[in-house]
Formats: sequence, C-alpha cells, structure tokens
Amino acid sequence: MSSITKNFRFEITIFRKYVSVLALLALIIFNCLFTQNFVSWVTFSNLFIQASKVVLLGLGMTLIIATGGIDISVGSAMGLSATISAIFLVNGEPAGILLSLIVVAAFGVLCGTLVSKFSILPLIATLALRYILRGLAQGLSGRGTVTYNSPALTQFFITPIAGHFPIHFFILVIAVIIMYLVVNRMKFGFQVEAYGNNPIAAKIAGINTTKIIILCYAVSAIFAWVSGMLEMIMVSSADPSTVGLDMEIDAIAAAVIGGTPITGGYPNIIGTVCGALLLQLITMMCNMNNVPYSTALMIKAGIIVFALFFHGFRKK
Amino acid sequence: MYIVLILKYFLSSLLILETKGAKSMEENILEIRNITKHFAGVKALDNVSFSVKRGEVHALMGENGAGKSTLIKVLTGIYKADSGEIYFDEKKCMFPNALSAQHAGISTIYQELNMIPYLTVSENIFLGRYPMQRAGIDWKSMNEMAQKLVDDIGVKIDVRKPLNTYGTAKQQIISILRAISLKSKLIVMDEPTSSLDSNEVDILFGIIDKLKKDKVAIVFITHRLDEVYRMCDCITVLKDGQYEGTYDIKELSQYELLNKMIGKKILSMDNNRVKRDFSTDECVLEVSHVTRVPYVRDVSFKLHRGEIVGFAGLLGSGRTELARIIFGCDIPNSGQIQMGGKLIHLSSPKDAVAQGMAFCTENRREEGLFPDISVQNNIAICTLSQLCTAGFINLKKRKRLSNEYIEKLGIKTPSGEQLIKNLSGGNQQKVILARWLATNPKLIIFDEPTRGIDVGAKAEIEKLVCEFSDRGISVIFISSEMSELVRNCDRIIVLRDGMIVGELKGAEISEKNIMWMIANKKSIDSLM
Repeated sequence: MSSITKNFRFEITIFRKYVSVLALLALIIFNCLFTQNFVSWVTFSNLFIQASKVVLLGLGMTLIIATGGIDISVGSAMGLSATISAIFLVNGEPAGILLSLIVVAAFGVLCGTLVSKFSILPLIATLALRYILRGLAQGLSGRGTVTYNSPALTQFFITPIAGHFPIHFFILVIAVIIMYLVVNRMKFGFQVEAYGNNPIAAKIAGINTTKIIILCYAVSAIFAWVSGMLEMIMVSSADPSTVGLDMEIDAIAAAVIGGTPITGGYPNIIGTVCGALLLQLITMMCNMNNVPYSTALMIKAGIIVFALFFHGFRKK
Repeated sequence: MYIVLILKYFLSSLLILETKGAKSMEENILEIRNITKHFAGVKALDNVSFSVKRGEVHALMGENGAGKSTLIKVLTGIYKADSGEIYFDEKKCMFPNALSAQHAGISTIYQELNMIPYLTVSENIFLGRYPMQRAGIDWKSMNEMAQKLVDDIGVKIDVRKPLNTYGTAKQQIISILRAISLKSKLIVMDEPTSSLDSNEVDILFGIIDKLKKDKVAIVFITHRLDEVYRMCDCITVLKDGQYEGTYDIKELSQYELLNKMIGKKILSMDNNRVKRDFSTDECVLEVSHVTRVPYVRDVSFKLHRGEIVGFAGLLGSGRTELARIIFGCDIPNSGQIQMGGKLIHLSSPKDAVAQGMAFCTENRREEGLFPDISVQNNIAICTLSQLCTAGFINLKKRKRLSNEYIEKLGIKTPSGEQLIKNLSGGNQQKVILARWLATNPKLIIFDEPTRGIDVGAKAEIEKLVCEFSDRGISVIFISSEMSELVRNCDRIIVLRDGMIVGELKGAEISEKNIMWMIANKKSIDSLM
C-alpha cells in the first residue's frame, strides 16, 4: 500500500517537473486546430525571434531563483550593454562590444558579492543595480537613442539559415543545451541545486557557497548581455531608457511557470524555456485571433497562477 | 443521631481540609496541578505538578526535551494545556494569552529578548503603558520613573538611549526591570545567564536577591549547575515530560541532581567495544588553548589515529560549539588547531573538508539534508570532483558510488533516485554518513548522531562508528546519552561551562564517573 502511494508521489513529481512542457504542447495543438495560418514557417520563426530575449534572460534567472534569490537588474543590464555597444559601433569600433560584455559581467560579479559576502537580500541588491545600470546607460548615451549604421551586421542577423531557421533559433538551442548540461551534468549545477535546497547544509558540506552565488549572478549578467545584443542588432540602435525595460518580470514569470521553486531548488532549464515560449505564444495567439492585448495579459496571469498551483507553493 | 454525628465529623474534617488547603495556597504563589500537553500525539508534558512559594527562587531543571519550555509556555498562556489546573495567587486560572498572564502578575524573561531594539530603554520598560498627560505621552515622568528603577539596582544605564546601545547583559537586566515595574508576583527566567559573563551574572543575582526580599517568586531555568546551587532555594526536575520531583537545594547534591536529570537512560545493547589506549599512536588533531567567548574557554586536547573520543557535558557546556570551531563553522577568538602536526587555518567548513574532516551535525534537517534531492546526489555532493570526467559528472560512476554505500551501510531506500525526505530518520543519517565516508576522511565529528532515530538504527550507527575507528578514522563523538558514550568511546573529555573539567580513559569510563566530573569539577585522581 505504502509503495503504491510512494510510486504515485514519484509520478506526480515527474509530472510537476514537466507541466510547462505539457502546457506548451497543449497550446500548440490548440492553435494548430483553431488558429488560421498558424502552421507556417513565419509563425515558427516569429515565435523564436520574439521569445529569444525572455528565454535567454530566463536561463540566467532560473539559476538565480534556484539559489533562492532573484535578479531584477537584468533588464537594465540589457540596456547598458546595448548602449555601450551602440556607442562603440557609432565610432566604428566593433571591439567595444566585448568591453560591454566585460562591464556587464563585472556588475554581475559585484551583485553576487553583495548577496553572498555582505548578505544583502538579492531583491535589494539587484534593485540597486537596476537603477545604477539604467542610470549609467542613460548617462553614457547623453542624448537618448544611439543609432549606428552597420548594414552588414543587421543583414547577417536577419538572414535565415538553411532558408527557414532564424539565427535566434540557433543561439537559443546552443544556450539551452549548454545550460542544460551545466545544470544536470556538471558539478556547478549540482551545487546550485544543493545550495537552493539547504544553504546551511551546503556550507557544512564544504561547498564554496560564495563562489557559487557570484557565478550565478555573473552568468545571469552574461545572458542579459546576449539578449541586449539581440535587441540592439534587430533595430540598429539602442534607446538606453527602453531597451530591456521590465524584461526581468517576464524572465521571472518564465522561470516560475517552468517549475523552478521560488524558495530555491532544482533549476528547471527545460521548464523555463517552455515557460518563456508559452508566454510568447499566448501573445501571438491573441494577435492572430484579433484578441486585444489586455486579454492576453490576463491569460498570462492565469497561466502563472495555474503553474504555481501545480508546482505547489511550499513554505520552507 | 449517629448519622448526625458522622455528618458533623465529616463536615468538620472537610473544613479542616479546606483551611489547610487555603494555608498552603497562601504560601504558594503558584500551583500547577496535573498538567498534560500533547503535540501531534507525542506527550510533551505528562501529568506534571509543582508549586512555587512566595519569595522563593525555584530552579526548573531537565535536559533538552524534558518539557521545561513547554511547561512555561502553558503557564504563560502561549500553549493551552490538554488537562490540568493552574492556581496563581490563590485563584484558579488558565491564561488565554501571554498578555493576560502578564496582567495577572507573571512576567517571563526569555533567552531571546522580546524587546524593541530601536526604542529607548525607558520606552521599552513602559511599553504599552506609557504615562499620559493631556498633550500625549508624559516623557519626562516616564524617563524619571525608569531612571529611578535603574538607579535602585545600581546599574549604569541611561534610559534615554536606545536599547541597542547596550549589550545583551544590560538588555537582559532591562527586561527584568520591566518585569519589576509591572509589579510581577512571579518572574520566569528562561536561561537568563546563557549569554552573560561572570560579572554580569553577579549583577543579575544581586537583582534576584532584591526581588526575593520583596517576596517576588522566581522560576529559574538554566543548564549551569553552579548558578542553581548559588541562587536557588529548591529544584524541580523534569525528565522526558514527566515530573521527577521537587527537592530542597540542601538535600540534593549535584551528583544526585544529575542522576535525576539524565541517569537511568540505559539501553540494552550488546555492542561492547574493547577500549584501547591510543596515546602512543600518531596524533591526528591537536587543539590548543582554543577560546570562543563565551562558549568555549581555553580548551586543549589531542586526538589520535583511529581513536574515538567522546565529548560529555550538559547542554550548553560547549560541546557543539567546540565541534563547530574545529570544523571551521565558527572562528575562535584565540588558540590553534593542528592537523597531522601542521598548523591549519580554518575560515569556513570547506577548509576543514579539504583537510580531511567530516561533520555529522546535530540538526540533521537544518544542517545536513538536502531534502528535495535524490539519495544518490545527497551521497555524492561532497565528492563531485572525483566523479567528473572531462568536466562532466559521470552518471555511471555516481550510481556506482551511491549503490556501493547504500549496500555497505544498509540504507533502506527503493532506489538511489528516491528523494531523501521520504526516508526514515535513521536512513537519512546513514546517507549523511555515506556522504562523508565517500570523501575518505581522517576525522569525523559526530554530534548527536542517534538523536531522533529508533533503537535498531541507533545500534547500527554505533556499530558503524566503531568500524570507522578500526579503519583508522579518528572520531569525535558528542552525545547527551551517557550510556552511548560509555559504550563507544576510548576516551571521554568532560566539558562544563565551556571548559574541560576532566578526562576519562579505559576502565575509568562509566556513567557514574562522568556525572561526578560534571558535578564536582574534580579530577579523577581525587575521586578514587
């Protein structure tokens, strides 16, 4: 009898782990049946191009949420990296793109240090950084939107590979594979999960918890840089006050729908990806069926509540 | 006629009883009768009765889990008793909450202070009953009254400063002042001295003396025997939620008290380790003059290869604190730790792990387990680097490792994929053991390894500990159960109030001797 209940529980855990995958599949099937012109390459590439930024931010966010933290500075980090890179491109120095990566990653390290070494609440530390990075971006640009002229770069990015696949698709696939392996097959991922489960036990088990936290925030910053670059290249310009604005909220939503426990635990990479795609698909679905955006927002809210219900909001 | 006589006799005897009852009630400020309290099926208090006289300092003693705190919480209205009666100040009362207990005249001074750090001292003393005048709070008279209270006991405190400008000791005193200003008839002090140094304890005891003269009764909870014998008039002992007895302090020696608190906890186990003298073997760990105020004071000892050394002592004697220092969880104020003859500096547990140490903590759930992670990952978490090939964890190696230990230690789990939170306490403990064994340690520290697990698993874990010793691993074994220490240890270091008060070897090891040492602070030579 008890073994039956145990097995049942085991299956429920597996179901919970992949509930966002199932939800995404269900929504795709629903659209295939009821939305006109849904089954096409255009829909496919649009979905990936539009969801790419949230997916990338979500990957970093998943790691941070898995440690029991949160990072609300990634949107501003996107803005800063786009602004710095655009300024260098205006001056014809493409190498400056690397500099923007270093700057943003350094802020990630700073944030991780504040959280781990100085025990500042992640919400507060990243809130501070959110203002600092946005302010820096606006200060550096000085005069608002920075527009550069580099048709070659833009052309490279908007040309689909193999006729149909947008370059975003490949960037996402590579990023997701790397993160999946890091989380499920590497020491770092195991230690992140352990830390999220029980920080005190992780410390006593001899895990270098400071290093783990700093790395998580640095990785998140690097993903913010990548999505900042994507946004900048698509429009050949960077508006320091709008690039990545409020994007972190979507990333958090994706991670939560994906099933990474907000109190810390297993970083569910596949779940986050499906969560982000799900959110984007809802927007697209509403567009294609002439449903107003306000309704789309409410459907998204419903999905988040639904996801939390399934994942069980446990108190620790 | 006869019937009338009998009735008369009966009535008069009843009357006598009544007056007798009334008299004892007059003397006793508090009477607790037959209190029983269950928590989720476990009896935390089982038919406990005791009484406190006016102007008496009454010690409430018992080991961890004996039910002291539960009793206090029932008394002060935080918990509701399942059955039983409380008489306070000649009235039957069951307080619905802490505030009504306070109004009736019972104040409690908790170990963790329940005051507001940013308010001034006088605000804290008069919290909730500020003196008022027409234009609001009468700050002037409030401060004057508070200052008078402070001056009366002769402590230097400026009542206009915020509470957090003063240390724990002064804050403790301020919370007592609050109790005095409330005109409490009974003050409960739950380990008030645990964070005080000896001067501060003197001040506190001065205040208690004064209170005693004013006929205020005090219930005093502490783990420090010295203080009990210095301050208290009588002792009530609780054990495992049951009332052991109330004794006059003059009639109960420290040894007898210890016996009542922790004696008779002998389990019948057939494991009788042959004790050996290791003093000529290679020295693995040497701790010299380690101090961490106020928990551990000037502790020095050596640990040899394959030796099992027990730390005996009451709760708060510094056992766990010493273990935490050795493992790098806490940094000592002074002193040195050497491993294998080399001086080591530990800034966090990871340094200790790198040195070949392992630590099975006292609180398995809070400090050991990763509850939502599988058994195999719980085992592998400390040895991930060894399981890696080309940067990736070799899942086959991980499975082999976990299966090896699941089999070796007899961990009962459906599979390595099972989440550890679904295992029983004993099996969880074995998983943590497996985790540390996999690191191939030179030294394992066990802090209460058998707490909260059943007798069978207990015996298995004890057996494993002895096997480690045979394989050359040194063990530090901390336990509140003396019989467990006596069964397993080659040498026992007895701690009291953060200091080593003695050491027992070979044939000297017995529960009686441990208790003698804790009670008398004498060396074994003067004992025999």
